[in-house]
Amino acid sequence: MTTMSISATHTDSHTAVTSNGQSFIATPAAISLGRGLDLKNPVLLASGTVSYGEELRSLCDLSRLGGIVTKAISLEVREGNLPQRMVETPSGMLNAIGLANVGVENFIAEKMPSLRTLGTNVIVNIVGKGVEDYAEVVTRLEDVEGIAGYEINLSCPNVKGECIIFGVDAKATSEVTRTLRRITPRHLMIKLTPNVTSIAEIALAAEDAGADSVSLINTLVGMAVDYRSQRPVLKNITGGLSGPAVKPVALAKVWEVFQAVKIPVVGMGGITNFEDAMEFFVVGAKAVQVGTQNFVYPNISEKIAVEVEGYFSRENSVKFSSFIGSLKI
Amino acid sequence: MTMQPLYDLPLTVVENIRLTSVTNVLVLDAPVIAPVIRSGQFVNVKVNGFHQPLLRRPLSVHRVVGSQIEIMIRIVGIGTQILYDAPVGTALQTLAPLGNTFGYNRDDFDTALLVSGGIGVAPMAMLEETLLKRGKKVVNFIGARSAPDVITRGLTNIHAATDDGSLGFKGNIVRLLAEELPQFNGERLRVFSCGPNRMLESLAQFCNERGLPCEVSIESIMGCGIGICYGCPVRVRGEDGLAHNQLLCQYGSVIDAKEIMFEV
Ligand SMILES: Cc1cc2nc3c(=O)[nH]c(=O)nc-3n(C[C@H](O)[C@H](O)[C@H](O)COP(=O)(O)OP(=O)(O)OC[C@H]3O[C@@H](n4cnc5c(N)ncnc54)[C@H](O)[C@@H]3O)c2cc1C
Ligand SMILES: Cc1cc2nc3c(=O)[nH]c(=O)nc-3n(C[C@H](O)[C@H](O)[C@H](O)COP(=O)(O)O)c2cc1C
Ligand code: FES
Repeated sequence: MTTMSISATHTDSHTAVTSNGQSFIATPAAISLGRGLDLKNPVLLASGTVSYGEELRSLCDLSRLGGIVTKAISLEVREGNLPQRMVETPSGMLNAIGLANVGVENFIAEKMPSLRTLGTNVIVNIVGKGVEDYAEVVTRLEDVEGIAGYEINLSCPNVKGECIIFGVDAKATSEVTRTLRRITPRHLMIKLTPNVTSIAEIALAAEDAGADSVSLINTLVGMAVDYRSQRPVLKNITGGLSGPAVKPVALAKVWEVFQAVKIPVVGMGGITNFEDAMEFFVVGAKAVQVGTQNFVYPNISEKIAVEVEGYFSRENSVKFSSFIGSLKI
Repeated sequence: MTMQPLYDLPLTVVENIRLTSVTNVLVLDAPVIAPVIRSGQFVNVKVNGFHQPLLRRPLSVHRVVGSQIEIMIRIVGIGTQILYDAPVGTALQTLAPLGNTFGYNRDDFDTALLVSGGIGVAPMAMLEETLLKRGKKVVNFIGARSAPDVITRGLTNIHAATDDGSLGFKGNIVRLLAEELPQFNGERLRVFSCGPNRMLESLAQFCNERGLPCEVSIESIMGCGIGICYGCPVRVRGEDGLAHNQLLCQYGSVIDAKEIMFEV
């Protein structure tokens, strides 16, 4: 893992040029996740909660953020599941969108041009039905400019293999990661599902196979039922739980993984404000992603980023790098 | 998709008018939004500052009066209950303007039949005003369960139908429309509608069978209102004749009756 000379520039902001040629504002909360993924601050937008950034632009200054993770991209165009595919639950929501997306070719032609102008790191979230799908999407994106890294979404069934979720199996996680590592010199972030017995074991498998970082948590499997009609509320029957309700689970998982691996950990799950983000840093997250809360307050990520930078620029306050994983037990 | 600038502003409740025990109108001070919002568009309101309820609630614009906008609310759950109870002075964080508009600017009709069911009357007051300004003739058909549920605020020239017959025609609104349609023979008609999906489905079928132009304002669960959650698809007939998902908050909420497909 490459460490940028960020610690030297902790108190004063200045512009530097990073290995991937992008100009990089070294704010007091700047951080490198390795292999050229250098963040001006540790606040990213989570996959599936911001589309491809276009809609949010007029409401939120995305150039103030460390990066944007796109909606999952697959080889083929996907319409997603039939409605109803979302339902609110206590302090959270369930979704079963079904990874609806424009497909890799349309993504390159229609979405990348505007993503390049956002002034922030673009991380492409990738989903596939088999190892070959992941490999083909990454290969197709390799010579596309303006991509800072890939986040690999393993919370989907391997329909070409044994039809289990990739991310619940250390071997499958390792196989996908190893395959992609051979293809790309770009940052490879492996996104972990919490729906497993030992998330640390999966994280270690990803690390051993060459991942540059791991991000967690993806949504928790959940269900909503209407007893009157005796039907599931979601057409898909089950969905993924997100929002404030999952934050305690997410904090525990990030802490567990932080203790197990050496590569950077990117934390998410129920972050709604500056305080929530800070809690994730304390348990070991080097960066955070904001998801569901974008639906509630479209400019919340910008607000959190500004407050995090503000906190670490205050005189006598702790350095961001030493705050990460500083949980006192 | 609307290319208008979006605003996310705290709007202050200046008046809470209780129309019935389950329906009210909130008058909101909205000097930025009032001049730009159009008939058929909606707003997305955070009902309080807490995590419960978490998501915003989509609501049509009922009327624009000067620098104020009015929304009409029917209680169905926690969010609408909070809005029904909202004290004067409350600031409601509001995203607007959202969605497309009713086709009030078209010149292929002279008489507008506004067909609404239940809380579907909410957007009709602004639509009627907009149409009258353009010299159109406006006739309202309003369906409800029972007489006290028939809300006519801001509407004129009303034909009502109730399920229990306590006011106007006894039966559903589409049957009333069928009975009264002959009197409009020879007029260039267009139907504008809003109400429960079941009513819109039978109305769309009725209009499509008769070649009567019709547009419907649809409801769906909405996570964001701005096209980032993908939670609001409705089924729309594509150019290939097949059903496709379209995000209601971007594609609608007003959709041509010939395009919308209700069965899932
Ligand atoms: C474009 C549009 C315009 C609307 N205009 C109006 C209006 O002018 N006046 C009015 O009273 N209602 C209107 N509705 C319906 C209104 O949004 C719902 O009644 C409201 O969201 C219910 O929230 P709740 O917390 O009271 O109910 P709950 O049942 O507790 O809500 C749970 C979840 O389901 C969603 N939901 C429940 N019912 C509906 C519904 N019928 N449509 C969409 N989402 C729903 C809620 O938003 C929330 O996410 C409109 C809906 C849409 C999509
Ligand atoms: C509507 C919705 C769609 C999502 N789509 C994706 C996706 O395409 N790929 C992915 O890796 N994660 C997806 N996620 C998971 C989020 O990126 C995030 O891991 C999760 O929601 C927890 O964070 P939050 O509580 O801040 O939302 C989605 C979440 C939501 C709510
Ligand atoms: S409501 Fe979120 S995409 Fe339409």
